[in-house]
Amino acid sequence: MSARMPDPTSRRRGLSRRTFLERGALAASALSFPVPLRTRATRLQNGPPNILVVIFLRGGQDALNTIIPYRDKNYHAIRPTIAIGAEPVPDEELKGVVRLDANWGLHPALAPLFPLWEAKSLAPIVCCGSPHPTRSHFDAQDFMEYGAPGMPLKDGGWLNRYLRLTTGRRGKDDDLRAIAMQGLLPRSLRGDYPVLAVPERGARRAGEYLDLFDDLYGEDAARAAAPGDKQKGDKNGASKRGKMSGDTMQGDASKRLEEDPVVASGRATIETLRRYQEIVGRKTRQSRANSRFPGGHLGPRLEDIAKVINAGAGLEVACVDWNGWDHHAGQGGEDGRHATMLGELAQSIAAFFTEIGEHGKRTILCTMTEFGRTCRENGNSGTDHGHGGSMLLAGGRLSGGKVYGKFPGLDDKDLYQGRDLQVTTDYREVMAELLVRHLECGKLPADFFPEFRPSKAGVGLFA
Amino acid sequence: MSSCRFFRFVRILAVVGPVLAQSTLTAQRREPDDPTPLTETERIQHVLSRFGFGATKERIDEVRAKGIEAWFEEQLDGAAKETYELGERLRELTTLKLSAAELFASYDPKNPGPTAPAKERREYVRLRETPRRELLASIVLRGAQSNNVVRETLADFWRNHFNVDIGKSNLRLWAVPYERDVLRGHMCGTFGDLLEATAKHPAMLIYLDNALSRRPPTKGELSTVRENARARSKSKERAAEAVEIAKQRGLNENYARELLELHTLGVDNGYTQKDVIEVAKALTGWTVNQNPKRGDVGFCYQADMHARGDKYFLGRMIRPDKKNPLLEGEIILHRLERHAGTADFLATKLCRHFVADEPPEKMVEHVAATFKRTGGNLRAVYKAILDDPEFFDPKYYQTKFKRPFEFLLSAIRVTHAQIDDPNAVLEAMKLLQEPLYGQEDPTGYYDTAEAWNDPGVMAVRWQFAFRLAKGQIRGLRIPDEFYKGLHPRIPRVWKDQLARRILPAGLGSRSSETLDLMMRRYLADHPDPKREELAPRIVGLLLGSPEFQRQ
Repeated sequence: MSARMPDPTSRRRGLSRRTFLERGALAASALSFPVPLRTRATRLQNGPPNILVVIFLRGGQDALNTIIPYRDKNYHAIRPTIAIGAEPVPDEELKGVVRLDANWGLHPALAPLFPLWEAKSLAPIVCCGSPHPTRSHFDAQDFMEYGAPGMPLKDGGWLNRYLRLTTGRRGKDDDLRAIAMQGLLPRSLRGDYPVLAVPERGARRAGEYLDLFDDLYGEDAARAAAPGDKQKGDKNGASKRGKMSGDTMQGDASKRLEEDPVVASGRATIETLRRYQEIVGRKTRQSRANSRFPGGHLGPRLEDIAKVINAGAGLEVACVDWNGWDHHAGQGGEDGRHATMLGELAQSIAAFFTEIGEHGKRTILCTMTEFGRTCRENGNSGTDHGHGGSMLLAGGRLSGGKVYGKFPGLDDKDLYQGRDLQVTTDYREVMAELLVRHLECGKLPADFFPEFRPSKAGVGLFA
Repeated sequence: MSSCRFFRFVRILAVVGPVLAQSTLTAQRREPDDPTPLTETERIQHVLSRFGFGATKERIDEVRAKGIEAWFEEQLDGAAKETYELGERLRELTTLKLSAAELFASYDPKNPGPTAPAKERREYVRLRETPRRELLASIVLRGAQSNNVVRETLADFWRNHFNVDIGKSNLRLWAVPYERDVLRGHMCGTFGDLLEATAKHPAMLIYLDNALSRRPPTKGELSTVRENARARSKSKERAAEAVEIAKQRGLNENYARELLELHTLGVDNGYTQKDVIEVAKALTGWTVNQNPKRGDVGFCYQADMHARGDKYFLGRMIRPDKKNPLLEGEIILHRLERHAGTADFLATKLCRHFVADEPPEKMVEHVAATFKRTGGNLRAVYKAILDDPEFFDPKYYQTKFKRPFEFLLSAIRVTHAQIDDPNAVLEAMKLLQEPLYGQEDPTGYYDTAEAWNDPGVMAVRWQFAFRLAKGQIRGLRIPDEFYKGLHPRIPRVWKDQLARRILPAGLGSRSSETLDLMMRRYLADHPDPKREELAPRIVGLLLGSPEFQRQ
């Protein structure tokens, strides 16, 4: 079909997956990988890859009301309207917070995560973030996602750099190594390695149009089968090439176009979205009704990620952005906007680990945010941009059931610039540990994080 | 073997020959690294690409007749005559002309509550949503149909520079005068006036929370709070708690920070957290009255929210003026507007938007110099971009990746698509991740390819291209007249005829050949193709082609 003028109603399923040999080399040149694609034989042999799911809570998630130092004498005083629970009274049951240990508790809306804590699969990290002092959302997010605080941006986000670094070592060519569950990529996944941004509201409907553009964005579109040569079905790359290769007319121009980022992006769209549809497109109304995931923003997206994981599609990295954590006003305490969003977060994560079952042993989910918020609440029952934040990690491979990170306390002198949480764990330590120990990317090149060498001891997230 | 090849070659020639002859009719696209200067036609196309949501044959002829400079001047004046049709469409949108007071009087209905009859509730929603609907519709209609298209591209730029989110609070009302009086009212005046207009507009004050920002309470006020709470609750603890709450009331840095970071100096450009706080203090009391019963709705100054005392900004002290409490804020705005950092920041941003993702340094310097020399005269600044010798450098020709807004409006313009329902376009903007007036981040939408050219997004563009071409989008259709003039008997040439309309700058050789091959295959199967079947397919492919994604 694709050999004709297109017809949008037709699907060409059988041909949607092409083998590595047919296109590996061309795809490599087209996407200008610095690393040559190798053959399957060099793949890591020990089973399916480990998976990292990153949820970026955009806007500056309030750390202090997420993982709560409920025993700190200042906590209630500096947050008169939004502190969680009552001040603990000896010998009485703790009110409000979900108790993790003698010092730390979770916001009650995070209660669905408690089973993960008990299973030692939950590892909160407090006072974690970027050492850079910026309180600009945009800079802080860029710094975090490029892994380069205060520095000119590296080429590509930290996860895209990981994908490039491991190209050829992992994953078949038609694997869906990474996806973002949103119409545009988060900065962490931007870069030379093509990553699918799943079109919102109907990847499936947008996907109907892929076949039509196969030729226009194909790797050697202009050399497609000659007229009259009605090769149906099998559009074999080998036979296709060379047909008009004697044609010097295109010459250099076509080579340049091979590197055209628009063409490259279009081709990557066709390849990866097809694969994604094969897996997730099977969703039915029935399955939606039976879903264990909450509605809203995060649940349906984690559900689709779970499908890709369960399908064994070679997924290694998945990202979801979630806007709206910038609670300057009306943040609230046990109820309110922050609580509602935390509830959705916890329910979605809990459902996610139930859904992926055994795969939870090779999956880590991690939340991050650009910075924490002021320790004192402001006059609008909210908080302003701060410094140190927190991360929540969940997954079977973690040495969890323990709150990570050094916490200096909430006395004025212990606060960053007298107002915010300190950063005692550099977020790049966590990233490095996830890349090396969890995604098993091998030794990180020295400049992977510019001007930063992870410490030997690390955070110690893995036993 | 060799004879087989030979015959195949002959067969190719037999079919390709006539098509190649035809394709010379298509304006050949310039090769990406061709250094020869742009021709007159290419220059016109370039101006229309960057300042006009795409070139059409009619528009090119118009600019050619007037000359680029004269045309641009006329455009900045907004002096081009609009069509009767657009005038009529805009006249129907009656809320566009209303003052804030009138909007609040007629379009801020009381919520009848969930138990009210459905009819009443529908009416409530209709009234409430009318200003937003009409504002967004007007931007789409003007963007697609206005003959003063340069002004539309400028409004688009400033809408992103001074971004507000129409979804916040009452901005569905405030955005109407904001777009009309602030952005469009000042975009061809001076930057200082534009900046001050945004700083004092309720849309901005609410969006970036300055309307809430206030000085911390004094000791006297705190003791009043304590006494009142004590009297009410008879409890010492409660009173202490009330004092703690009152103490927290205070500055909101949100607007002050973005004023420096996004509107004027650019991030970390010579200011500190301390400066942010001082700006926030100076602007306390700049707030909004939204209650018609308490006087005119709009910007107002609340003395009791204002932080008294001297302010120190960028190393200089600003003394409050008793008679004019707004003065200290205005001094700050004035200093920002005159600051060299602001000129550099805006010049970079304008050149990035209208010229290249990596704007040429010399041009930025030239534009910044104009900005400084003219005291932020924006007309002069726009003209400096166009006058800069590098503007027409061939290396920028047809290279800038279109944002969704630009992609959609140019697709509508080149196909002369009729917008029966502007919502069709607004929905497409949402799907392409650029909902109009819907950016929550104060950065506005980014204007570089890096932010938009992700694998996956192309699928949504292709979907739009085909659905538009096939008439499947309700409220948006390509009129039959667009297809007039297609050769009645030789469908082989339709591709070239349509390509000339949709891509006056031409198709690249690779796309052109691919489309020719697709045409031939199709014609081999459909020797007598129907216009209604084949032509829309060609249009869909052209709108989805790599070439059409660039301007």
